[in-house]
Amino acid sequence: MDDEMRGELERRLVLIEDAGGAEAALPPLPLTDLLAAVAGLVVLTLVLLWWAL
Amino acid sequence: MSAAPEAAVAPGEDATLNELPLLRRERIWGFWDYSSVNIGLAIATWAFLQGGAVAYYVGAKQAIASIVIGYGISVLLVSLAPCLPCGRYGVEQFVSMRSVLGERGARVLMVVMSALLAAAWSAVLGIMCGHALANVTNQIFDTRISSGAGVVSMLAVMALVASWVIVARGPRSIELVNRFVAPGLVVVTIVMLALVFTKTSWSGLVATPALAPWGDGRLDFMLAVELNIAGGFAWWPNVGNLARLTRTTRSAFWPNALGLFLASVVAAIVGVFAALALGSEDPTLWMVPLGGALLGVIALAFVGMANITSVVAQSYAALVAIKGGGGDTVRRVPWGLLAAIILAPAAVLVFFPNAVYDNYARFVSWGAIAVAPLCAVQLVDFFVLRRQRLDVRALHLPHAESRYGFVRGWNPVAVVAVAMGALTYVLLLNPVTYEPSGWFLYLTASLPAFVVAGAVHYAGTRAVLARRADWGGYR
Repeated sequence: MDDEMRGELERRLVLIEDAGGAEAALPPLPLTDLLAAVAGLVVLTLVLLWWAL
Repeated sequence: MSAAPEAAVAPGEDATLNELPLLRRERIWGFWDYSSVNIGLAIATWAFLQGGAVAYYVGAKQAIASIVIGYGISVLLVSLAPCLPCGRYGVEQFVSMRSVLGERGARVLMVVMSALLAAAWSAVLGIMCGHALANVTNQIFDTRISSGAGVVSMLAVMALVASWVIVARGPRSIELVNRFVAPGLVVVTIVMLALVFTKTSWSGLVATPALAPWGDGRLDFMLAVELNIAGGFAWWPNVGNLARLTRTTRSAFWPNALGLFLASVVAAIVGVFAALALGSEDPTLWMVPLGGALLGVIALAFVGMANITSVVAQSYAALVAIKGGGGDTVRRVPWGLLAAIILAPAAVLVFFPNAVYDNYARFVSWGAIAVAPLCAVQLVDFFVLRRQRLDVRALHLPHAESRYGFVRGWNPVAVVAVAMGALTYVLLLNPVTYEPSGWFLYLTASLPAFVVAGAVHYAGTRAVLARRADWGGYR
């Protein structure tokens, strides 16, 4: 990695590591989203197995 | 909140074209942008070919169930890992894998995945495009170009060149193309579905037997489910670098339900219906019998073009990965030249069109042998062992200085876990003969491979790596 690239990486890391800053990592996916996706898939699977088999 | 320095990429550099972590303001895709890219990626001819392959084993009702269940499981898992680590931190997919496999392990993985799988998939799509355009030519000029003819290979090469022209211009061109192609593909799929029902009825479809089943109903259904689970896992090498461009974690997660899941499922089901109605698994042979000369040719030409958009998305993800993990020498190679190098192996493979095209199911299976365990170790590592927290700085440090250094840049636990998962798959489903073992009837092959790899990675990390802070930062 050349100096210019390393400098750019360092500048970005500083921004991302600033937990309260505008460029910090995005918040995690809400647990309700994950549960909704899993529940939807389970229901869909059971209904389809009942219908198709 | 501290004052943030002005964010700008380095002169001459666009961070979406290299492995630097993206800042929030550089994320270019919201929910609908990523959804349209995702749909464009999902509804290529390969979704129709997937449906054609499923029709080999099961009839219409069991095909619908197997497609929804199979894709549902694997797309959900792929949406969790790699989409969420990459989306949350804006890191390149194979850079994020350094926290799982180590710097060197991730680099080897990147080379294998990007160079081999991406090239092979691009070849499949290029050949399908060649088939479609050859059928258009046969229809318009009354020629007799066969599926294995040299003309098909030349048309496939032209498709790869067109893909290179687009991908060389970067991700904004992918977004632009998909804004037009994705809605058009939805229309083509819906029109195909309507045309199928001008040829047959629902009761007629349900009564139509599978094209070439093994004869054991449960085994045929499980083979169809496995084929679809493997089809969903096939997105793993690509989607992290696409999710990296999204503005929120919800935008990184839910568009996969619209694109990789719903669009794939609809297109594959339409593919099953067309295959059963016309008695052929080749999607490029469905359009003209279904739509007549004019509509069929238009649909074929459009689907051929749609394959190009999928090659573009595939190549972009591979390019970012290789830029990220290829070291200084690779980083200095211009983007356009690297794109040409990535697509070059595919341009060779398309000269063996029948060998590539006729082994679709095995091809998908080979991918799942590696990808199901990889997805498992990444998911367990990110969500369970690291509680969704990555040290972005450590991801970019050399292994000797990084908390993700493991043992000389390798995580032996993750490597063993992936190997155990792959072995589990091979024991359950022979990837060469496609013959299943007894337990396959109850378990499939991809899911046990996933579970074994995840369990070995968790147990091994707790037992070995968590003892020392410099062995992956688990302590």
